[in-house]
Amino acid sequence: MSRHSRRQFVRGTGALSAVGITAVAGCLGSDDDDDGTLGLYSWGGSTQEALMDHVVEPFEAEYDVEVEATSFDNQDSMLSNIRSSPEGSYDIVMPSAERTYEAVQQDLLEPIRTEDIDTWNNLFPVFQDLALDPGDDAHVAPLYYGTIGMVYNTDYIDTSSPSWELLWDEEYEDRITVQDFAMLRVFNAALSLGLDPNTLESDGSYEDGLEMVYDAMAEQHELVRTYWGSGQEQVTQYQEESSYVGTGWGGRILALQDEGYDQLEYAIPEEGAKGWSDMLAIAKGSENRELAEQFIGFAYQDEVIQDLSPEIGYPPATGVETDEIEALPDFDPSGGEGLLFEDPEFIDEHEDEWMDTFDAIKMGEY
Amino acid sequence: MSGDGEPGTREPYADRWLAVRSRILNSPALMNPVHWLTGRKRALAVAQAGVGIFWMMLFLLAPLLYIFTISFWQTGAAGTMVQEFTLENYYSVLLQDVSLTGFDVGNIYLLVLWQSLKFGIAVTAITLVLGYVPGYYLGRSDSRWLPVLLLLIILPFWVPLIVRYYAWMLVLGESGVLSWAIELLGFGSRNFLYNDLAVISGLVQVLLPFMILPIYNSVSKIEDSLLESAKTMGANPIRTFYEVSLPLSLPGVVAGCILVFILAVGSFLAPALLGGPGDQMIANLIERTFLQGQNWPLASAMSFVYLVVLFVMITAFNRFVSLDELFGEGS
Repeated sequence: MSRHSRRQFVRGTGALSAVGITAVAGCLGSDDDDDGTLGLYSWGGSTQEALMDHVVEPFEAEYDVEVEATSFDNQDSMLSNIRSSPEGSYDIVMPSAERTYEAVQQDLLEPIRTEDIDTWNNLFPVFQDLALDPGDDAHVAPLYYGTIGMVYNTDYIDTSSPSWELLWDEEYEDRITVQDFAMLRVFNAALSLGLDPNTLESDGSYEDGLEMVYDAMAEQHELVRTYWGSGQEQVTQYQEESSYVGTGWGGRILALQDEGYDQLEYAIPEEGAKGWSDMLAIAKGSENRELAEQFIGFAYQDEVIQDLSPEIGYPPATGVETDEIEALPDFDPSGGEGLLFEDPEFIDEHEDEWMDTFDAIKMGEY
Repeated sequence: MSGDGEPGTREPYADRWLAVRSRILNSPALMNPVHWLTGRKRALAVAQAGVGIFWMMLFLLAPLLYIFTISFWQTGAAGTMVQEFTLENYYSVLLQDVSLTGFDVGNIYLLVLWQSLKFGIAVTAITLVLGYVPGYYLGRSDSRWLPVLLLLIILPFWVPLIVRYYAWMLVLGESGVLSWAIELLGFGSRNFLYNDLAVISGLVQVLLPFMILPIYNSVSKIEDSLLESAKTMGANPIRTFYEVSLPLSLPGVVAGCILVFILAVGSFLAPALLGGPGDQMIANLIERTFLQGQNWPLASAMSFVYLVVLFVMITAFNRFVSLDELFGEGS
């Protein structure tokens, strides 16, 4: 169990009383329609199963409501379904970090009245005011987070402080694999060069910084075994020992470790890693806005989220800590401070150019 | 008919309705639709052609038209499309970074397209060499095992493409069959995956049936009497092959080459799964531009230029070997 039991106890009691107060408030009056059904439109598969077991069913029991769950398998189809349905068709939806900006810009989400959510302060400060979420209001409620970190095989690489420099180390020529995604390559190269990945500025100049980044990408290209495209291709690279070091997703590597690939390690390098998070949000025009906020508040309780998170495989966005959570590969002891989110406006402005140059590097034309 | 009550109490309207209903129900088209249709050959022909044409319109021409249209639109912020005419996409695809005087092409699209065509030519040449003999043998064979042999050639189609490429990765991979065999022979090199050769060999094993089957088809149509007369007139087997069998098998060769070439140039999975960091092909570039880049207009222009280039190449090939004539003779 927890090493922070006192803190947890305080939090736990706080959360419990919060639930009590919310329940009373719920009885006193609400602006919701009263059919008592809350829609939940989430990621499917094991994520949905974990949500059903650890959040939805206890919530239904406690609030005596019914939650109707539907699922999507990619962010783009979720956004377009919300967009093309009449307002009020959805209640709770689940945007990820990389689509939060679009969802808010396209006016698909209601602001969350965080003052009505007593457990809101359980969230790490980073997640209470996400830079990805434009404007003053909060539109998303982060549930858990992860990183695009570094994977390495301890049979071949012995390091106590993993650094992105390993991905430029000639010793591992032809044993390095990274994701085939220009934006991530730029972000990663900037981190390893010590530049701010969201401005790329070197001594105040974007152009100078960009040139350094491109040079680093071209240098890395000479060492890369292959660029992986899908999660499965990533797994194959490390599983087959085609590559010894590269970028990857914590949840996938955790699954490999569970299968007995103990030599694989997942780390957030000292320079930091690009973060991501899956969020709960309230769809525009939801007729169950208050119930949805209660659902979010319910999910943020320590007892709820500490069981949910290990099952999904990613650490929670709230401060609850258990041994199981601390053992998760993406766990960030600094409470999410180590996570670096992308600046979506900056990316939108420059991505075409980055893609062209990445292709030129691959074709030996840089 | 069911109990409708007494005729006298009926309204005239109901009577008329009953008559119409029974006429519809008793019409030949409903009573015996097959007989009715076969009796109307023209209606049948129109219906059959109509379904095909409708299908093509809906799933081939309409999407193509859409792609053609948006290839002239502009790209807005956050992956949106601005419906204003521009030639910018075609400029990027065809002319950007191209210096016509110095033969210096830095245009990524053209370089990737050229690389795809080279892969296509290599794969076509190898499958032709590997596929001609089995195709010819099957075409001339009167073995009672022929159906089984043909089945073996078609068998791989029962397995999804992605599984076949993954299987090929198991053959070429670090701990794969090939590296195991080579190690047994005492050699150390085990680097077979993630390079040009892996892509080409993967495509060859997947596309080989598309070469063998058309060759088998045209060889099996060669009359035995032609070969016998060649023999009676004193031609040796080699001369018989060059002067009789080979020319008559050409329609199959041409059809096989076209099929394999088109499929190889446009392959997506082989470079993605088997290729190394430099093995870029056109389908992957277009997919990335659509999805990662969210630049639909540019990706559409890329698709359209690719389509036109393939069309022109096949038309030129057609002229060169006069496809029509060959198919005319062959069928």
